Amino acid sequence: MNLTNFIFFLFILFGTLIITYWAAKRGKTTHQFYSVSGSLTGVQNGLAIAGDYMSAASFLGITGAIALRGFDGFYYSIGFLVSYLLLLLLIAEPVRHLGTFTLGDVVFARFADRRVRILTSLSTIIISVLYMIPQLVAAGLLMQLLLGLEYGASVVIIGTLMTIYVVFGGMVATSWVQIIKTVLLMSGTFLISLIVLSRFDWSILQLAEAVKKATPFGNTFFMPGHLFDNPLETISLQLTLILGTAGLPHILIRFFTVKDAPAVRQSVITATWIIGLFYVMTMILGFGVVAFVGWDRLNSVDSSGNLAAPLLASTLGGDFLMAFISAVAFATILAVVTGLVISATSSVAHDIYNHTLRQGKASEQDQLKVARLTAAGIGLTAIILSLGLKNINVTFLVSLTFAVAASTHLPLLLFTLYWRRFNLQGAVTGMITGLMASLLLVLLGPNMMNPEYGWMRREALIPLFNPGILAIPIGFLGSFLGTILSGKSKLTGNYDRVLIRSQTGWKDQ
Amino acid sequence: MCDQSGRREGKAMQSRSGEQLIYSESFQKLIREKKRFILPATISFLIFYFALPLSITWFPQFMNRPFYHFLTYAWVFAIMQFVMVWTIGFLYYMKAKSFDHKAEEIRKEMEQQGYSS
Repeated sequence: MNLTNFIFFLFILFGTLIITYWAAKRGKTTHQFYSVSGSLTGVQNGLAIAGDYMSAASFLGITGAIALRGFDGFYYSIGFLVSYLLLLLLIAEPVRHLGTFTLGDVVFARFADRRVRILTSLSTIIISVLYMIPQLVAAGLLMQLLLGLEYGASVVIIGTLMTIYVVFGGMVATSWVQIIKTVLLMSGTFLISLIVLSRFDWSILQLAEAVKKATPFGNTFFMPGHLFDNPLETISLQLTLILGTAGLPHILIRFFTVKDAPAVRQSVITATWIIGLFYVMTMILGFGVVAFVGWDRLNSVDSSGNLAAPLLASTLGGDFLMAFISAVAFATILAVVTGLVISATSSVAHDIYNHTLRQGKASEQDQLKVARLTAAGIGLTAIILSLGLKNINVTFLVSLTFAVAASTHLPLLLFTLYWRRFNLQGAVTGMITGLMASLLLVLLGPNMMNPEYGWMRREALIPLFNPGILAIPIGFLGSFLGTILSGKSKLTGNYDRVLIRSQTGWKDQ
Repeated sequence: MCDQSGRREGKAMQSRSGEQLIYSESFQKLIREKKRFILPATISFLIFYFALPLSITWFPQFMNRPFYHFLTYAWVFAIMQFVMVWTIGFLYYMKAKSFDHKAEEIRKEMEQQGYSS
C-alpha cells in the first residue's frame, strides 16, 4: 500500500468513525437506533438509498461490463433503475405507513400473527446474509488488488468496520456512511467522466469513434448480443431485477427513516436521479476504458472487468486518481454491507427478540443491548463465512438475493396491501414456496451444478442461471393458491384498517 | 375497536368504528383517484420495460439500425427507459400532492369524529 492510498484510506476510516461516535452520543432510544427517529429529509434519505443500493457490482462491475461487452453492459443497468418505479408507485408509502422498524411490522399490521412475523424476519436475514457474503468476498479480492492488502486482512477490516458502525451508531451512522459514500462515488465518477470527455473535445461521438477502433467487436460493440445471448435468461434476469428491488429489506427499512409520505416519495425520486445519472456516467467510464486502457489490456489483466474503473483512473490521472478511486470503491462496499448488517439486526432484535420472545414488552435498554449483540454476531458470522469462501465463485448469490426478494417479499407485500381476500395461510404458503423455489432452482441450476466449475460437478438439472422466471411465479402462485384453497378462511386480517392506514397515513394507536 | 369482532359489532350497531370510515365518500374518492393514476402508470412502465428485451429478441434488424451515429434504435430505446423513470417519477410527484391533501383531510375528519390519531 503506498502513501497516497494510505492517506485516503485513513481519511475514510476516521471520517466514518467520527460519525459513528457522534451517532452513538446522540441517541439512546430504539427509534433512534433503528430508524433515526424518522428525522432524515427526503433528499438525505434518497442519497442514503442510492448508497445502500449501488454496490461494487454497480460501480466496478457495470463499468467493466460496458468496457468489455458494450451495449449489453449498459443494458444490464436498466433493470436496477426501473425497479424503483414499482417501489415508488405501489410499495414505499404504504410500507412507511404500516411499519415502524421492519418488514415484519408491515405484515403484522394486517395479520397480527407471530408466525408471519418470524417467517418475514427469517427471509430478511437470509436475504441480508446471502447478499453480504459476495460483497465481502469481492471486497477482499478487490482490496487485495487495489491496496495490496491480504484477502483475509481486507475482509476482517471491512467486516469489523461495518460491525462497529452498526453496533455503536445504529441506523444514524449507517445512513451517514451511505450518504457520504454516495457523494464520494458520484464525485469520483463525475470527475473521471469529465476527464474522459475533455480528451475528446467534449464530444461523445469522437469518443465512440475511438471506442469503435479499439474494440475487437468494431461497430457491433454498440449492438446487443455480447453478454446476453440467451433470450430466456435475459428475460428471466430482467424480471428478477425489476421485481427484486421492491422486496429488498435493506432498501425497504430505509423508508422508516423519514417522517411522512411526501418525504418517502422524495427519497425514491432522489434515488432514481442519483442512480440513473450514475449509470449514464458509467457508460462514459466504460467507453473511456476502451479508449484509454484498451480492450485487450483490460481483458488480459482482468477478464471479469472489475478493474476497469481503477485502471482507467490510473491511466488518466496516475497514482493519485487511482488511490482516490480505490478509496471510493472501498467506501462503496462499506456502505452496502453496513446497510445489510442493520437490516438483519433489526429483524433479529425487533421481530424475533422483542416481538416474539418478549411479546413486545422488552425494555428499551434490553432491546438496544440485544440489537448491539446481534449486530456483533452477524458481523462476526459474515466475516468467518467470507474468509472461508475466498476461492469459490459466489457472485451468483447477488442475483439469488434478488430472486428470493422478488419471490417471497414481493407477493407478500403486494397481497398484504392490495388484496382483500389474502389470508394467513396464503402468506405462509407463499413465503415458504417462494423461498424454497428460489433456493432449490439455484441448487439444481448451473451455478451449483456444472461439469467444469460447479460446487457439484455434473450437468445441471435445471439449465437456468437466472431462476427468476420460474421462482417468482411460483412465489405468487403459492400465495394465491394458499389463499384460495384454504376456503373461507377467517384469517384475512383486518384489511379495512390496513387500507385506511396504508393509503392515508392515519395512525390509530 | 380495531380487531375484526369490533368491526362486525360496529356495523351491526351502526356505531362508529375506525374501519367504518372506509365506506366514507372522501376515502372512496381518494382510492379511486389513486387507482386512476397508479394502475395505468404501473402497467405502462412494465410494458415499456419488457418491450426492450422482447424487441431485441424479435426485431434484431430493426433494433440494430443506426439512429444517430453510433446510436442504434436499441440505444434510443434503452435511454428512453431512463427518461421514462424520471418522467413517471415527476408526474407522480406532482399528482401525489393532491393525494396528500385528501389524505390529510380524511385524517382530520377521523379525528373530529373521535378516532384518536
